[in-house]
Amino acid sequence: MALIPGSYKDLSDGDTRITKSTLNQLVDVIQEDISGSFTRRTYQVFVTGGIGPGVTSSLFQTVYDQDYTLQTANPIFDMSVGLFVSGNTVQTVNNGNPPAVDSAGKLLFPSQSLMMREKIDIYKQFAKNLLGNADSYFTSPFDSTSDNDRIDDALFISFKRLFARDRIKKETFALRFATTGALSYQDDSGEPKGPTLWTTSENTPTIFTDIGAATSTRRTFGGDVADIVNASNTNSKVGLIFYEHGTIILDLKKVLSGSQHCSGTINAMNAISPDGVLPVGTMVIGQNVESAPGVTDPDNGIASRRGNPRAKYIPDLLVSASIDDIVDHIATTRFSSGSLTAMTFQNSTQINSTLFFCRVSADEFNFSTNPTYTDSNGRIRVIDVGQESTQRSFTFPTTIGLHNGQGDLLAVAKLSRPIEKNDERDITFRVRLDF
Amino acid sequence: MSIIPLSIDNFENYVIKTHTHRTFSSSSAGHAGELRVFPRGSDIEKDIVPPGDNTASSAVNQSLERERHDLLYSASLRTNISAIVDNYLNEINDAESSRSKQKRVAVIRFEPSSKYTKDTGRKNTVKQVLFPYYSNLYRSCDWAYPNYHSINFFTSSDVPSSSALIYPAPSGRFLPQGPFTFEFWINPRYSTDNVSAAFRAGTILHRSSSYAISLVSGTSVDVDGKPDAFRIMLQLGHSTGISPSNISLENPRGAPISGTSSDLVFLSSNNCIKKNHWHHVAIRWGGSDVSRGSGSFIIDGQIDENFCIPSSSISSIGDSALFVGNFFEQKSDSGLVTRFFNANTAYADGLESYFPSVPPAGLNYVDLNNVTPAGTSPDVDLTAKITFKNIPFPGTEVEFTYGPAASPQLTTIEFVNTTAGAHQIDVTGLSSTKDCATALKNKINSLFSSQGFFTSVSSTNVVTITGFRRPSGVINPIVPEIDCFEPSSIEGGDDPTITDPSDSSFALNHPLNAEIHEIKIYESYRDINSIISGSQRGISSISDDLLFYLPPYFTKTTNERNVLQTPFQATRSTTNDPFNAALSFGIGGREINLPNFLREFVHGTFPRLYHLTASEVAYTAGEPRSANDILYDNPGLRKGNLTILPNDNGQFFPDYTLLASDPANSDRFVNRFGDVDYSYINLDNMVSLTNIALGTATDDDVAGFLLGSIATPEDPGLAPGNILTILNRTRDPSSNEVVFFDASNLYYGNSIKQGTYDLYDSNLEGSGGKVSMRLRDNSLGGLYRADCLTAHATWNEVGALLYDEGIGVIKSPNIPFFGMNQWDLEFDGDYNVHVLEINVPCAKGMMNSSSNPNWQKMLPSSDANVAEDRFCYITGLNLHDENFNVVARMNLAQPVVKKDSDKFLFRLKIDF
Repeated sequence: MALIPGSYKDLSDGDTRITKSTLNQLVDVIQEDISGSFTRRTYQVFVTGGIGPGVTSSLFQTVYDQDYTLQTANPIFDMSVGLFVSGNTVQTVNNGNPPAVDSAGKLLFPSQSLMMREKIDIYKQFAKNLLGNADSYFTSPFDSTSDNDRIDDALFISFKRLFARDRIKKETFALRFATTGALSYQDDSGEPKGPTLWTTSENTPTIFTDIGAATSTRRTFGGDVADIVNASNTNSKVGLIFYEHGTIILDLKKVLSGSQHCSGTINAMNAISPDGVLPVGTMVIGQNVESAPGVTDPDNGIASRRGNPRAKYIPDLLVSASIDDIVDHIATTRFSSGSLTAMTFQNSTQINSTLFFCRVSADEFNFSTNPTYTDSNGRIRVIDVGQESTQRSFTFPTTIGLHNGQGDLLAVAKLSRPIEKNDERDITFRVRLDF
Repeated sequence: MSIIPLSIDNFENYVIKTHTHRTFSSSSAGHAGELRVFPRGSDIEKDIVPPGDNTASSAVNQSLERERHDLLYSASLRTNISAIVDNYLNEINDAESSRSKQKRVAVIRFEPSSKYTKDTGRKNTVKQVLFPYYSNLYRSCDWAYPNYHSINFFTSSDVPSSSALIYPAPSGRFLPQGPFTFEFWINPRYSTDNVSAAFRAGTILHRSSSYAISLVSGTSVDVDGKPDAFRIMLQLGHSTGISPSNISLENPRGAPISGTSSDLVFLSSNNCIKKNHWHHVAIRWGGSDVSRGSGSFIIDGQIDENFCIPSSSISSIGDSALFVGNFFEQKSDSGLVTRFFNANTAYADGLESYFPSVPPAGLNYVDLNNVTPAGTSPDVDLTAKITFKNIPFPGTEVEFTYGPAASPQLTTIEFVNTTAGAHQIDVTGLSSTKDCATALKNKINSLFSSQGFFTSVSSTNVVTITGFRRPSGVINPIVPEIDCFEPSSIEGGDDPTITDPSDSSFALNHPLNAEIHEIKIYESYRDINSIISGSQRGISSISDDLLFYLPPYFTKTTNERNVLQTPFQATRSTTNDPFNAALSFGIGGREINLPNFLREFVHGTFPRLYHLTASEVAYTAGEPRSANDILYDNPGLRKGNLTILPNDNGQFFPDYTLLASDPANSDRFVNRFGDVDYSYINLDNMVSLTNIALGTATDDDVAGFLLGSIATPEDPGLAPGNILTILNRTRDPSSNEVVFFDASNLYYGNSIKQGTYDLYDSNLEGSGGKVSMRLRDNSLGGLYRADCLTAHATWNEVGALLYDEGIGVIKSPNIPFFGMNQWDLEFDGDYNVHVLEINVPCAKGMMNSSSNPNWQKMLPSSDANVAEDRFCYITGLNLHDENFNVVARMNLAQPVVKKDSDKFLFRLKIDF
């Protein structure tokens, strides 16, 4: 393609600039989106066999911004729990010992536990992705060597890339979380005797945040990581935030009052009804201290197959409940169910741009090759006919075309409105290509 | 080796054409089907600083970020920042969702505006840029629409049911003297509103005492229990005296009804006409000499039923009228058909008068010469009504009294010389009573008796003056004129020559509910082949046996009549456009010029549009209302604007040769090249720009800003003047009675898929929910009406569709306000997905080990028959450029076991 003089101009290196900029957007996760059953999706991918109808559970749950059955629903984050294989909770199941291993390398656990291997595998998977070693463990503070800072029982929150984008912006994350569950009769005799496992906590939630990350961030296998702290005491580290991955890890023993009594019905491998009323495949934990397993309930005279009446959130719930039950409890009771903000952060999107500065000097581009620019006699049309010799030509650029060295048109930039160009004006058109 | 070089043979490019189906609905309840600009936008995303916003809300959000910085500062000072963070979270919660992320795009409907707005620019862009650009592809890119219409009759609670087209039929006009053939296309679009309602017989053609053809229900009902099939009923001679709805469909020629014999009532077969199907109907009879007096119904070219008429003629010669779309029942002697064409109405509506010697009222000045005998003989006694002439005493002023003695009224007769040679008598202060007329007579007698005037008052209160003699030897005497008061307003006035029949003297209560076209009455017995050929194509000439022919075609000529300039004012004029251009370009009002469509071609007559038009209304001060709001207060105009609709009958093709017989009026039938094409009605250059003013009312508050007070769209109550306000504002003389639908390419991608565009209005404005309309594209850039269940006239392009632009234009003004209240749109998009396919071979003997330090040599399976001693899992592929930079990466859904003997081909597809 031949270049027509006057309509084309070469761009030098100085006319081109490559820049990077960042776009931030605020994400506001609402409490009821986390607690609601229509906005939290489960996946029945784990199924037991053997005793009773079996237990089905997800390995993780996904929170959406609206009813997830709608086509317009967007997934916000996945939520799951994991246990460190050498952590106190896992070892508590085996009376302080590591779990037994069979000949195929499979971990073995007593029947009072559920999904232990899955919980351990989930922990390992996050450790592999974020720490580079599946057998490693998380600590909060991140580089702490103290066993007390080891995260044995983790709540994993992984934001989807749709919202986390390229990374979470530092010092923008905050989370409202009820550390204390609903009080039971055992906690306070003034409380009713009913179950507490599915009752929304009425205690003032604690706020956890990554404030201080600007100075305490470390760069590791999983990218930049910082501690999540308790806003009431920023010296209290309760978890980790991996910014590039968009993953939050909370140490459950620090964000939950683990020793608090809990009671309620959970799914379990149980072939008979625990009280004759509840369906088979369930188990009651933490209720009726007076009645022991297999003993007739003094309140109603029904033979009971109930679990530990003195059950606690840690380790009993984490060990005996399925991942679905644990996540359900956390989502429905610890984040509240109102319309307030449960979590917030700012995401970052990096925009790579190429800027072309199309500089037009006063003497350039004052003529057009448009055939209508001249009359039938080849003279440039002017406003007042007959003044061709005195009136200066001018143009109204509307479009800028970017060509390669062979003259092929690669890109077109349209002006929002035509701009007059005459020999009294030099103009620089800045063409921006965002990637 | 884990790196495989890929040659050009491993790459393949192809395009997948996708067709996304889109639906969009709009109504008063809002839109459904809007698209997000950001398809995955979420309410939980919020702007830290709203883009381009300096309003208070922006300040709030900016303070939000500022508060975060304060929070960070606080955290550097203390360890308990819970309250501050809590407040920060609450403010985030209060912030609105990201406006940019919530941006939605709707399909836009718009009409050209009455001022120069962006819609004006849009119209100009479509008409002046896009239409010329696409005109080599699509014929519909003319600012014109086809001259192919049907006549729509319907009933609803919002329109009068007593409407009809009444063609004057004096002295046996439209009356076959012996054999006959009636032909027409009919489509019963409408059924009953509910199951329990009876379908009332609707009359297609009726000439009193001669013939009546009606549409009556059959026995078939649809799934809702409403009639969905019909039949045709013919009444002849004396049997036309029976109301169609009183005739038993089971035994139509049974016992006399109300003393009238029903022996000449005939029916087609049951259910021969299906709802929403176009059927061609012919009814023929050859007289007593053909087939022994038997006639037949011919439906769609097939003999449906035969009948026998024992007499030799059905004629009933006399002044009558042909009613199209209703059945005329005369209830009293004063209900004469001829009164529909009285002098006043004929004058106002531009009709043929049955009383040509009677001057119409409403004329302020009537030239006596028009009613004097022809010739120049002097001393011939002349008789005229109040339009007496010759004022002997210009300037004289006389008072007289009238009325009862107890309360005499005083008024003045003034003989004034207003301008040179234009004398008049101003009679002021008169009330419309017979006393007034009598008093006036007496006074004039006393004044002018010496001049040879003698007045009398007739029983109809019309003052008649006799005795005026033309001066001897004077051929055209100066005949100054006199005001006359309107006879129709005189108390007790019931002059059949100047007034309509009273409502109680007749009934029109068999309204048709169907669309019809190509209505012909022959005075001959037509053979089957002629009927079939005539049902397929229009006629090119008027044969001697053709008595009546109503296509309907748009014609440019009408009689002079009262034409609205505003809802409150009319002027005498002909019309030569499809719609009232003065209303449209002056104040944005819409009135279809029905006379231009309803001309009967054999006699060139125009019908009385009974209850289908609007006349001037009295101006009332109050809240400003648009011209259309005022016009559509009139039920007749609502129905009239829906009377001529685009024809969707694809089984017929019109012949426009008849229009070519009037080449002097061909300038409305030209295409964009200026060539005459009678099949298209041009909508460009509808009004002249020669008288356009340099300035006009552009200020909402000051009507007639530069040119004085003239009617504007904002205030149609002012005098129209000679300036068309909208034209003056926009300088665009092309039709504004168009509707645009503009869909963003977010909806369709590259273009709208041809043949998929479906636009539907379930309730056209003014129809009361009865008339719906569906438009589809014909894959050739045209929008055609597609309502009937028989073949569509896809060539009848009432609009244009620019597939690549997503713009649909409805050009036909005969579809008033399409989509004004609600509309639904469906179409498929055309979108090309460009795919790069990369075939990565994974040959035998390769990729069996990993460079991952964790890899260990293990058996792929514990099965004894597996020979390999090692394997690896392939979890993903990286694509490198020539410098080994990773430029793309693919992860497998699950790891694949690769053994030494396995051979794979990984196929990557990258969509663009």
